[in-house]
Amino acid sequence: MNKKRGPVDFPLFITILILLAIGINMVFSASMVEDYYKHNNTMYHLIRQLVWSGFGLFAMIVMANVDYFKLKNKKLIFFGMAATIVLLVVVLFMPPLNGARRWIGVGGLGIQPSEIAKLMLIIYLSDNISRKGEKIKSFTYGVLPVLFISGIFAALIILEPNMSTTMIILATAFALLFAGGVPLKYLTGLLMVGLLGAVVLIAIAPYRLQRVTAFLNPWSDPLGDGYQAIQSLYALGSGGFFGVKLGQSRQKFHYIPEAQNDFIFAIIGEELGFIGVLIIILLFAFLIWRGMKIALSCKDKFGSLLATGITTLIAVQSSINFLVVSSFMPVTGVTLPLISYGGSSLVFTMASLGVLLNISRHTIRNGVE
Amino acid sequence: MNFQHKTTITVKRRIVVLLLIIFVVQMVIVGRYAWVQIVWSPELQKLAVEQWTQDIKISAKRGKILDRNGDPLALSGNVERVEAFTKSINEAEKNGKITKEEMAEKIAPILGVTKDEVLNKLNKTLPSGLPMSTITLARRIEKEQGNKIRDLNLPGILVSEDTKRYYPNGNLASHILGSTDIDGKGRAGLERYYDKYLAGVPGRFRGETDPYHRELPYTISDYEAPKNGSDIVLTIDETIQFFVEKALEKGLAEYKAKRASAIVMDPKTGEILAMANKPDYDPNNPVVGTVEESTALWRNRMINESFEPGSVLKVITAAAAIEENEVKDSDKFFCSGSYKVADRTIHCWKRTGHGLQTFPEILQNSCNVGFMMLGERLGKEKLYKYFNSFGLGQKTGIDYPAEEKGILMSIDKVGPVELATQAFGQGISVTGIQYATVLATIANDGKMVQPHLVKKIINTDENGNTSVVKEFTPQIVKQVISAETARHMREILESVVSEGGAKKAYIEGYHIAGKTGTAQKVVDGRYAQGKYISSFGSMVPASDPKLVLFVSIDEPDPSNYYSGSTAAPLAKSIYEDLFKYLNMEPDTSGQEQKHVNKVVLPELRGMGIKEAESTLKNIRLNYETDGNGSIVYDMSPKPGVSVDENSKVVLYLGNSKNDNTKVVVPDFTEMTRKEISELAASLGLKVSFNGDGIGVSQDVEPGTEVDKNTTVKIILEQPDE
Repeated sequence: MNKKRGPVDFPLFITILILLAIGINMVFSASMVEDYYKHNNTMYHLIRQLVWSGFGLFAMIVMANVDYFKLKNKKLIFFGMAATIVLLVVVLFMPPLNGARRWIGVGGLGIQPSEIAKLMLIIYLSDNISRKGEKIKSFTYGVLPVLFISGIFAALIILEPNMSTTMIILATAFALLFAGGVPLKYLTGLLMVGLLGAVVLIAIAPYRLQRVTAFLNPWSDPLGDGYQAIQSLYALGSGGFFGVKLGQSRQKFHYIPEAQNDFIFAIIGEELGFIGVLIIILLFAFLIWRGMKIALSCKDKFGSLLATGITTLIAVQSSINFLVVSSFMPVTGVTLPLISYGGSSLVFTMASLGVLLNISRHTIRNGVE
Repeated sequence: MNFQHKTTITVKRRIVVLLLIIFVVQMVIVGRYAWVQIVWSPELQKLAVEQWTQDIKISAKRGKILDRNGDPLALSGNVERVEAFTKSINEAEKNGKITKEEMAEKIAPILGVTKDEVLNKLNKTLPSGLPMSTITLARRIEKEQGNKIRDLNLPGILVSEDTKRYYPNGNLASHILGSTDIDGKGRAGLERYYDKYLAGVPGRFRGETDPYHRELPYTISDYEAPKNGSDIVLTIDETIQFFVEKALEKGLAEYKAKRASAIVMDPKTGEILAMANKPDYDPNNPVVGTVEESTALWRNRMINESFEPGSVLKVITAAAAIEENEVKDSDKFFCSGSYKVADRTIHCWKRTGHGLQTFPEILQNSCNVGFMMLGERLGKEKLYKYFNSFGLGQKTGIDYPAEEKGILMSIDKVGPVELATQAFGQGISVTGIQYATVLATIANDGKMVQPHLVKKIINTDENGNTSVVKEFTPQIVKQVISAETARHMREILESVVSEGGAKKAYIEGYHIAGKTGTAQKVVDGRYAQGKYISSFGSMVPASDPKLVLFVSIDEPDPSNYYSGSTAAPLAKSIYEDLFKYLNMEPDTSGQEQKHVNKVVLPELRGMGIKEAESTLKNIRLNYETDGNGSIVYDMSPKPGVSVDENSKVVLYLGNSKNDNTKVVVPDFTEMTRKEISELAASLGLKVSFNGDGIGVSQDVEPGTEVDKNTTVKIILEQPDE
């Protein structure tokens, strides 16, 4: 085994830092007004975001220095998976916050098991699929067990309920099955089943249906289900092409509550305009391209899939957030990775990116054989 | 490295596909943002601005309504309110200018509350715990208090008028003034007609705020001071209005009428000096009973309603006939009591007939037959020419809401019968203001003036500079009849008062010219039995009238409804007040035939000397005594004799009662049944009536000496002119 490691993918590293910096700035801008009224401290969220960013950077650097194939440890994966499932079950008995049980712990110091689940599932699937080799082409032996584990995760998360994370997990798992070489006929079938499942889920839980209709015509209930979509569109619309300049959003004055969270991109659109929006989307595109490039350059299938999974996770989550903010999708609570305020989720996102950076140190480009 | 599984080509190919899918999705996202932020942006931005912008209205002080001499009739309360704008206060506090504590300390003693109370209000928060944008510190405080707070010149503290409308004179001129609604907006009368001048322009605070109405930073917000409403100066004279209302109130009770109204107008300028209807209401509390009842009470009968006034309209026919040279004063008209028009016989109100009369006499007698003949001479085209030019069936354009235009039959429908009846005033509806304008035209040498209630509108700005916004100068609409015709009409109308049916309006030396009219009311399209409208239109002095007075009594008690004995004396009582108030001296030149009031001597025999003295004084008679004693033994002339006012009566005194029971039968004609009965009873005569209305003839000639308890038969006629 060649222990020699190359340097990390520098463009990726810089992109992550740029996005993180933009995030810190925008969290400050978006949260200062509410913080002033609620906490009499405009820097309430800024300070916390800085602290979490510190933890995140630490986690990223640690993971960038732990060789990714060490994750391919059977015991580690087994206990990791077991622990994740336990946490996903425990969280269901936590007191609900805004109608959902997503947090373990108190307030900002808590963790969301679903965040751990995302990363754990990627590791598990990458390992499982790469281990199966050509057998992945078999439905019963290859696809079904993978689906079973993903299904358990999805089912537990949807019980919280957390529709958006469920969607993200399923999309990521699907992407990994696709990349892992599962025959297209199975994937097409899965897609059909998934669509049917989505229809059923919407049919049984009315609030989901309301969100769908709110998305179709937010002005039909401007103070209820359509409120967030409308306020988000007002922010983007007032921003226009050039934006109202950094810090000068009006929508953050209680029109968009907790603007530092899921709708931070609306404030970005208002303050920085379409220009700012375009730059951030391009930064994400660049990050995704670098991530996929790392996946392609990795000679090891586990590493490739792991890089693919992490990149896809970022891609799916950021895309859903962009779509929700621009009212092109029903409103679901999805944060924008690296940008939105977020304690544990930021740390886990950065830890995942640390793994990605580590994989980049073992690519062909780095002359590792 | 020990790789168990190499990355296969399939995996690599699929990763590339995955990347491409992600890029496609991202391109869609970029497209969506471009559309929202570039194409849709202007519309969204407009909606967003609408959401942020808040207007806080600061009410303007409503203008006053003043009478022509500047006495206030409607005021916007002297009350004020104090508001605090938290943003300005916080700013001042931040800049170290003043603390809330210091502010509370200064304000509290003025408002008469404790410092903590003010401080608590200043620190008041919304239920969500967020600070408020504006806080009302006090409402309806006295102006003095408000000024004291203004003088403190505190940042963010605004003292402004609080809305309350006062009508200091209560019911006075209520139908002219109207009233305001709860929001202080004009609802009726001039308050409504001139609302846009009175209301002023509310000031406003305009700024962008968050959903809790807190002002947003980095936006321009502005404070616009309210522009106070303008004051309306009326043509009404508060004192004249008061006299008129007092007289109407009295008349309403005396004649047991449903309603009584009057207009006093300056014929030269068209200015309404007084206009009133009784019963009225108190505009301070305009809503009494149901909404329908209230709004009915708010109607100004003289403008908002039309009615058939009857014979007063004969002046138009007469003026037309003079102007068209269809009649000379010496022309003779014979009234047999009725007149045949086409195939119909139309009666004069005096069925026994007026006999042979001159032209002035048909006006004095208000003879319907004479006017039917005049109508015939004129023909409907000429008569209608004057109906139209005098403004019948048309609005006068007076500055008052919802003016009625009256009813004038279309000329195409006028046949000989309609021509005849309209010529003596039947079948035409007018409003009070319309008829007053007709009178004013005759008074003003044939020049019709536009009647109006407002003299000028003035505005006082915040610096105390007064400017005239609008001034209403007398407006001559047209020349309706020649000055000569008008003068002639006034002479004849003066004789109607001095000698004709309006004697009870006569005041010596004042040359009142006028015409009475009693008409059966039209109810549901038919003339209603026992319901009358008695009117009296007049002007004074006849030679060059300064005043026009129109009095109309709606549904007087049917036992005494004749306008000559209701509307005319009512007008007289108004005139008496007006002459004193306006310092109008009586004409004592005596060039004209001196008209002397006649008084019927009452029974004094058997009275004590003191009692007899005061009785005579009341009816303006002098007396001398003959003989000794304390009891009136006899008198000369005898009771029942009609004597001139101020003439002398000789009382023969004795100590015992005279058993001479001879009395003189007085002239009962033109007296109402009630008046006849009262007079007869006072003299100890008995009367029997034939018919109903006013006396037209009696079986015992006036002046005949008869025994007491003699029965006199009197024929009454409906003076249903």
